Amino acid sequence: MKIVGIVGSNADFSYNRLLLDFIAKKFNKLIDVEVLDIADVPMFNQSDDQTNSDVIQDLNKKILGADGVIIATPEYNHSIPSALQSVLEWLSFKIHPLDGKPVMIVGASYDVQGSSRSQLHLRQILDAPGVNAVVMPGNEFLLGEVHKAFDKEKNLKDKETTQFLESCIKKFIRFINVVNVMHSPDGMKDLSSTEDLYATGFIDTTIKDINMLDDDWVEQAANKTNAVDGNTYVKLNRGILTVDQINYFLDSMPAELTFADSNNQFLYYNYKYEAEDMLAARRPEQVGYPLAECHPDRAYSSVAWVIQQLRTGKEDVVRTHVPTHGPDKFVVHSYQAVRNGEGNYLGINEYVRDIKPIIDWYLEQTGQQLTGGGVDAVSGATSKVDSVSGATVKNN
Amino acid sequence: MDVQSREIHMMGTIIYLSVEHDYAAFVLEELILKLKKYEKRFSAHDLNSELMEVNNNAGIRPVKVNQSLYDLIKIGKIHSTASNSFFNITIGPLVQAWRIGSEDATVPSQRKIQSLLKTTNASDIIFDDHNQTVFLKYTGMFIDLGAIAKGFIADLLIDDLKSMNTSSALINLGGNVMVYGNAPKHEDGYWRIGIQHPLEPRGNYIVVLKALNQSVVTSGIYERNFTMNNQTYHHILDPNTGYPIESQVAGLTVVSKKSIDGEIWTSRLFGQSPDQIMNTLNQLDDIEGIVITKDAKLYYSKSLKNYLVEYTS
Repeated sequence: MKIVGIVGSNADFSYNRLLLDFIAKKFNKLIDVEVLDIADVPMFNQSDDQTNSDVIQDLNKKILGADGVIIATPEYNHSIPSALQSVLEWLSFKIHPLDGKPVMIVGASYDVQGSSRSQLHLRQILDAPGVNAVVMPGNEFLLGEVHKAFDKEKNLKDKETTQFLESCIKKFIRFINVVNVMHSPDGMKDLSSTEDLYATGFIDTTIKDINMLDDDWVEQAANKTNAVDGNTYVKLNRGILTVDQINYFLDSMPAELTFADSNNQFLYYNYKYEAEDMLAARRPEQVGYPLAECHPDRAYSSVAWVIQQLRTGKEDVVRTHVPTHGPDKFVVHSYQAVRNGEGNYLGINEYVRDIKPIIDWYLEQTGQQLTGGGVDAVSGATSKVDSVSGATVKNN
Repeated sequence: MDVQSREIHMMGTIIYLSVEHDYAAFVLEELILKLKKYEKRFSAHDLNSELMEVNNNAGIRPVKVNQSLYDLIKIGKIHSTASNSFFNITIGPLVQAWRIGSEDATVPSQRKIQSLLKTTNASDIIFDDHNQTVFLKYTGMFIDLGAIAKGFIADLLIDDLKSMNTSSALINLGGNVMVYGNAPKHEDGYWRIGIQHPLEPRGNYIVVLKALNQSVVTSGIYERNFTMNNQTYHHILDPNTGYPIESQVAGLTVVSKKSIDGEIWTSRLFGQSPDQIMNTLNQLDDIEGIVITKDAKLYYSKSLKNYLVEYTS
């Protein structure tokens, strides 16, 4: 489980950093913690947007890619340090990486009551609509008299404190799982709002001022952009083909290909068969539609979930088996993220194919048989030996 | 319903978990947390475990332990001191002397073996039910629950799975297999468990067993041995002589409801002749077995007949 630890102070020496380092080291079998400093993050200023600076983008990417976040905060004047406040402001201005992210709060301070007020305040901030983190309730871990708490090896001296911390971390792991269940595609929460399925925005390549729902959207858009066709040559990486050649080439692909851009607009499919003869039906007049118009309402949540997996970089491909085609086919829908050279999300390549002929061919070529339906597990005498010989080594 | 599986390296072996549940990933995470807890509780290697404290205080003082560890050591003692039992949870000092399975395996001197036999007598484990303490009478003694802890843990995990309303599951703790509920991949609901062929490489089975809500535990001499002066020594030691067991049996599989019974009986019976083993198993309720001899002969309990499929690869 990947966790990002954020040090809430920008001081050169921070006991909160020490605490996060200790968590990372002590519980490395439970969680994989990367501790991040915020010292280089500029002070928040609405008139000087630095959202795209390396330091903020780095925080953004790491939080997006993590399963959860632990924030360690000291207490200044009954609240959190302004440095931490500033970071949270950047992370709720143009970007919202903490949205829906499970967060655990810990804190260290010189006082006996260590950081309890700042933790409470931080909870309120994280709960603000622009931040919208999912903060673990209860289990407040506060480390008072922190200057006496660590030994020379930077470990917590008090065994019971360590045990309590461990129980908090374990509860956080469970909490993350519960939040994930909430976010699961068939789960309780409706995710459709996480994606603009009606393509109300636009990106650089959006062809504007044409009704996306028009049946002749392709023709109108082609007119407007002076799109080339027929025998016109197009230069590609790596080669030159005419538009006709590209079309025949894509039609010859052993799959139904569909492209939707990062604005969630359906832009292309390799039209060769009519809808009723396709594995996943498409109609020529649908091209140009926003994705919401291509799916029934009840599917919005799952569609949004799939796009989120690809857009945030959690997955490069999401696959589902669609079993409604009978036993002699094995139809797989693959949703592959399309990214540019810098890894930015450009859209989805959905390819649908029946993979059974390939598996049959493989089996025929290699003379092998599938044993699925064969053996589920093997009982043998491995590990009894391993554990005994393990004892031998360690006790000597 | 979702079927998910996970493979992890723990307890000195490869653990494979497969779970059928609406939130299978969640259940798997939960199981792994439980496994870590149980491993720590029953491990003879973890420096902070209660069992280690018992061992460190051998010949010094009784140590209070938690209920489940207390129960497990008690079960261990009962079966270690039963007559004709080849199982012994205090065999550790002898295992250390032989070191079979590690690179510097050696044949210890006769005198050393004689002196070590004094510290490997399970009847020298003293219990105090009132204070829930365990005391090892002599310095140098130590308890290793390795032979039965996996079974105990497998049983606990099944209880955990039931409490989470899991539809079906397969737990494979390095060859110790436990199945629960109907196998999702098979129409008849029975899981197919291959029994490792003792004379062939890993992954080759001698028979396939159809199992349902059962544990399948296999013990064998085929895993670790070493050869010195033209004599091959196997890793299973006779607790009475201190020397590796001479046996016609190459593999013994016990099929039972509880995994701990599987581990107890494979350990108790390994070393006896195939006839003796089958005789004993026939007298036990709900405990069945499969014996494979060194010349690849197969013996099995009558009641297993309809559940075994001979395997030809």
